[in-house]
Amino acid sequence: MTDTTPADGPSAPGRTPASGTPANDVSADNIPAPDSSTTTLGVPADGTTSARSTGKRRFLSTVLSLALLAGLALWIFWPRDAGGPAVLHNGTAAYQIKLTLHSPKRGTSPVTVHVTDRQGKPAALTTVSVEPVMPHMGHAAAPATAVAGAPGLYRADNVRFFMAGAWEITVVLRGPTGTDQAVFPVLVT
Amino acid sequence: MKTYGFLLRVSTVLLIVLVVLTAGAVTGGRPAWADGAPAGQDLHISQTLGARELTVVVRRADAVPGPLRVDVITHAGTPAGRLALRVIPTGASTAAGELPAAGSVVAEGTLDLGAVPGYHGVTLRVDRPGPWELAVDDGERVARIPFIVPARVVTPPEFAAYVGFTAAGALLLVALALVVWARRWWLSLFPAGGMVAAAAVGVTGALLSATTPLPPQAGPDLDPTIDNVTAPYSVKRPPLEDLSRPPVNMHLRPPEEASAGRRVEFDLLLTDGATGRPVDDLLVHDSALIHLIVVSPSGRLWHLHPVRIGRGHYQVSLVAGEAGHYAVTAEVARRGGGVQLLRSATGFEVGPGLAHAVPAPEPKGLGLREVDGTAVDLSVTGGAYGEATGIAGSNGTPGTPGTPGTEGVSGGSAAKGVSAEAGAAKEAAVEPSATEVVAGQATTINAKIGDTADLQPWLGMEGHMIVVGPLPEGKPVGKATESAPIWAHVHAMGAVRKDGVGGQPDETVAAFGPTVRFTYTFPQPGRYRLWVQAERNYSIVTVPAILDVGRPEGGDPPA
Repeated sequence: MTDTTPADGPSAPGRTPASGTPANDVSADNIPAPDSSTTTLGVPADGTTSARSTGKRRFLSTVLSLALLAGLALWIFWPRDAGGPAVLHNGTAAYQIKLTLHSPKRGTSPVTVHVTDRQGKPAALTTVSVEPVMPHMGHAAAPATAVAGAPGLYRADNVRFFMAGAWEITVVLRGPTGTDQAVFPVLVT
Repeated sequence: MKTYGFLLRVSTVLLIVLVVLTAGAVTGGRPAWADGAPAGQDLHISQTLGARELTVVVRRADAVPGPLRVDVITHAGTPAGRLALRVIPTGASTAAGELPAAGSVVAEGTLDLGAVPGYHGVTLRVDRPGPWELAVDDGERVARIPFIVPARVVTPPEFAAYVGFTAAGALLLVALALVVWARRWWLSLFPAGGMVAAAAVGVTGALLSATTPLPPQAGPDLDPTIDNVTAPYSVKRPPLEDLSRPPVNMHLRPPEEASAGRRVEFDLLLTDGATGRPVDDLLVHDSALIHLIVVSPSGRLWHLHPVRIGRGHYQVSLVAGEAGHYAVTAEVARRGGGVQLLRSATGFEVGPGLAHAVPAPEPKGLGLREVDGTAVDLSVTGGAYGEATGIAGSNGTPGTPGTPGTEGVSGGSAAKGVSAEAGAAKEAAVEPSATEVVAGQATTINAKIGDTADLQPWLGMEGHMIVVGPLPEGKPVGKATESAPIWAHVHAMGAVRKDGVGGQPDETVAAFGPTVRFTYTFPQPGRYRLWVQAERNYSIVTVPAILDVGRPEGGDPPA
């Protein structure tokens, strides 16, 4: 209180006359005003600040714990690998095969078959065909021939999965060493 | 104050340990410290590999990667020689992993089979859970046996129990630490409340874990992949109620040249009844992938177990007893469904060959006879007809229905526990002349094989009985059985327990019998052929017999 009063005094003789400008006056009046209002409250002012900060802390901790709970719930209930391509690895005595079913949904989907030999070098095959079957239902869909793209990469564009459920894709590889087959179970939704 | 500080430090250390353990349990997925029943059982599988009749026992694998014990049991007459065994992973996986892709040999070993029947073992190695193939190579052909290396799976309730109890312990320590350390005592109520909640979760999980139904099993129900073997609860499954599959067609590719007295090898090609694709999802049932029954023109019987040499492609061989037409049936179980009987519509023909290959004599009816040096006594008990005795003799005339209830016993002696020995004593007194087995009535056929309890479990059973009929007069048995309306395979389970550690006992346990009992209801009256089979001294005893089944009083048996 005693500290601020001399500063408040606009007509303090010790101060530079230039400070007597209206602009300075206004600022001088306005700036300390909140200070004085808080300080005039004296002792009770201390109590409210601590109450407010604990209130803030409580609010923050509530928000944090809620966020934590929400995050946990999301982590638990978030649908896993929904919609993404289905990637499966399998192999035969001569080849390692990676099959990608780009859209494991009812309808048509491209199927990519990446074939390497057992050493990991791209395999050169004469034909690669993709034969989808529903083993439980006893349905067989039309087979598709996969066309060679990059070395070791074969792609069939329109493989038809006409029904949701458990499918089994047999990949038939015909190459210089004979015919190899590998089966990939996939779930179509 | 000093003691407080010490307590504080101790509780902090304990707290950190528990938090780390809890974090491990939550994120680890497969905690190594999880206990529980060892996964899986031994796989017993009979294989007719060339001239050898083998029983391959794939012992359950307890840890992966780890050892895999494979035992091969040979039988009387198995030629000595060397087998090469290889294990190959076959399962698809969503993760590429560090291990080499499926399809390559992971471990191999050799087995030297001696001429003496018995037990031979080799230890191989498996490096991942999931579907595998055991290749048994005798130098001429390779039998490919599918099997599954299980993973230890923590069920969700078990997981809840582990996490709940661990968290409860951790929260207890937090509560203690707060009581000691915090200025406000009531702060410890929060962890204490959490502890109660966590303990409730743990108790609930522990109580539920015993009764929670299992998801569809990779192998019996679903095509096994590494994913559904490792994490059966987290893989997405089709919402299928019915896991069964279409029926199987069996094409018997006849041998190019078959002559009597020589070994005949033929192929079986199994295809799906709906898509025509090879059927490669056969399950091991009663210790074999396929139980193949072959009946010769004179009524010799073979019970063989073709080896899988490719997808839906099986092979088997036998030494043809005589020239003529052979009937063939196969019992198989597809994944997701029950057992089905496949009757070959064609059978196969064997031309004349060696001079010693002559038809077998017509077998006796019930009563005492000697088979391969073993005394065998067949008798019948059953139905409301009490103790029944011998019937059509070796002269083969069909008997006439006897007088029911001659013994005045209702319910039969089988129900009263009268032993076969007592039955045999009665048989001696009663003239074996009348048919007392009646269609539509449950009948027990007792076969006393030898005198002591030294039978070995064969295909997981004390004995097997093949029943074919009713057969017409004067037709070769091969032709007649091929078109017979009834073709049955009856089991005598007896005292063979399948709930021991690792599952059923193997053939080295020679402690069963000597009487094996088969209960069967003959659906139609007429003349039947029976073959009772049991194992003794590592040799299969096959007892052929003829049984005439009478028409019940008051007409045909209930449908």
